[in-house]
Amino acid sequence: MEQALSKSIKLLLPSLLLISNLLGEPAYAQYYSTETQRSEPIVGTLLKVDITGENLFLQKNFELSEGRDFLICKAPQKGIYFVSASIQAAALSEKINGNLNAWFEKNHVPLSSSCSCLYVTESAPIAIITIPFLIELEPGDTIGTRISTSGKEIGVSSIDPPSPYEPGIPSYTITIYKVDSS
Amino acid sequence: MRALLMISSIFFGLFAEDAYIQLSGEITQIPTPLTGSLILSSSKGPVLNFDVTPNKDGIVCQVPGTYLVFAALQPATLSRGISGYLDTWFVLNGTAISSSNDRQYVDENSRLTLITNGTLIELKKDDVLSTAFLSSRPNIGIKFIQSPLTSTPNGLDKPIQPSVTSYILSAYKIGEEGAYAQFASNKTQTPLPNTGSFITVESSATPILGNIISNFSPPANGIVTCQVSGVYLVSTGLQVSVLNDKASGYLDCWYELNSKPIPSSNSREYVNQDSKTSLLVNTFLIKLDKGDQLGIKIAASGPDIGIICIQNLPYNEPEILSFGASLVKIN
Repeated sequence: MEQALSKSIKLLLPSLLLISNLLGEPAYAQYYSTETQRSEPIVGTLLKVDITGENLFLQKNFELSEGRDFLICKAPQKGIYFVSASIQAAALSEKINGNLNAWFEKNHVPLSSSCSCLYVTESAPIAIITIPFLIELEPGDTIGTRISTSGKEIGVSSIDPPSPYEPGIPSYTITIYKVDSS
Repeated sequence: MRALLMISSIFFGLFAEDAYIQLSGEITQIPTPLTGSLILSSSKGPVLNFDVTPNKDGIVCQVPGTYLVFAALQPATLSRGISGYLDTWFVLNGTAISSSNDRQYVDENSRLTLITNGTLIELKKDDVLSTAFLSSRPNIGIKFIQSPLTSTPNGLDKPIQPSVTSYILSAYKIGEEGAYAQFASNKTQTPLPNTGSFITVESSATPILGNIISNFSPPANGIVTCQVSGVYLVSTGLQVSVLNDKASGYLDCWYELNSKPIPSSNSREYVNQDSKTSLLVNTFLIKLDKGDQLGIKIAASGPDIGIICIQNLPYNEPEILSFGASLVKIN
């Protein structure tokens, strides 16, 4: 009896592993930008990311678009994803006050409820905001972050390493990963 | 025996119950003075294995487990020429969760900003989780901004951009066999000049947050050691503050892996005389191997900038920790 059970398990194992891998395929990515970026008037700008080697080591089942401004989901199944955009909003010249709005776009369509806003001022010229969001993605869907600002001297700012002990500050980091087991 | 273990692992992987929810607020809200209020939501989705309370001020858990929760609020001055702060914390079954509180200033120049409060929390079936907020004066709240409309070539008016949401709550259940940790400090800390300093973790603060730790060694000298290889989300919230009323400047926060700074893991937040304290949130994916040591480091532009713990708040408002971090294995 025990031998028969063991034999059945061995026969079933490859199929179960295949199903498990297909259903539970992990998907994640993280990209960041070391460029200071400004918004186009009215329509805003999709934030771009770098394509350096360090940036590429954290991606599975995602690809970056040719223009480096959105991610493409390559997971075999649709799923629920947690996405986070960290944006280093900044006044890009002195004595500037204004605001920056940022939101996610799926398949180039703005996601309602994903828009956040903050002010930067001459006395507090740089601030970090982190926008958390849950989103459903199907294979081939795209996701990006667009900003719009109150003037051309408000944008996202990258800062070179401030000291030999400290890494650089990216202007924008997008982090995404699958949270369901489908 | 090994085959049986694999089968059971696959079985539970296939049939693990997922649970997640996202709420958003499309209304401007002002908290009740002194005691604060629960934030109301206007819409929801995506949702699985959660309900929303009938008055839309909380979520009801259907599947017990460990959850990662983020609440993003849009604090704002709702009249001209004022300044003050907004505090926000989580409430479980009507009781404030100790040490889940964060503070964000707004002023007549920085009229609107975003504060993102995150935590790991154990939820049981039928537990009700809410987000509370309280402001230092009546005209500070969380603001919804309707997007302006523009005319398109075909004559239809459409929004230029999405409306600014006053509130987003995102929660999801983390993996059954995952690795995760949450730790914190209830001490005001200032970094060393030039080199910066590792954030120290107070063991007295960690249990307050539920002593949530699995497959990580307890933090020692501000450093945690990974016990299971994988890709991890690390989310750190720092209560950046001026430490005297006339100071202004910035604080940077980055991650170090095995004593080396992780490239581009750094974030910066300014504080000044008007906006005395602000929440810096640094979220980052990091690949960790078993035995890897992860530390969180800070540096400031001057000696009067640091991270602050605010205690003895009135009306049963939980204390504001200087620092809290959550780590979750995501693959």
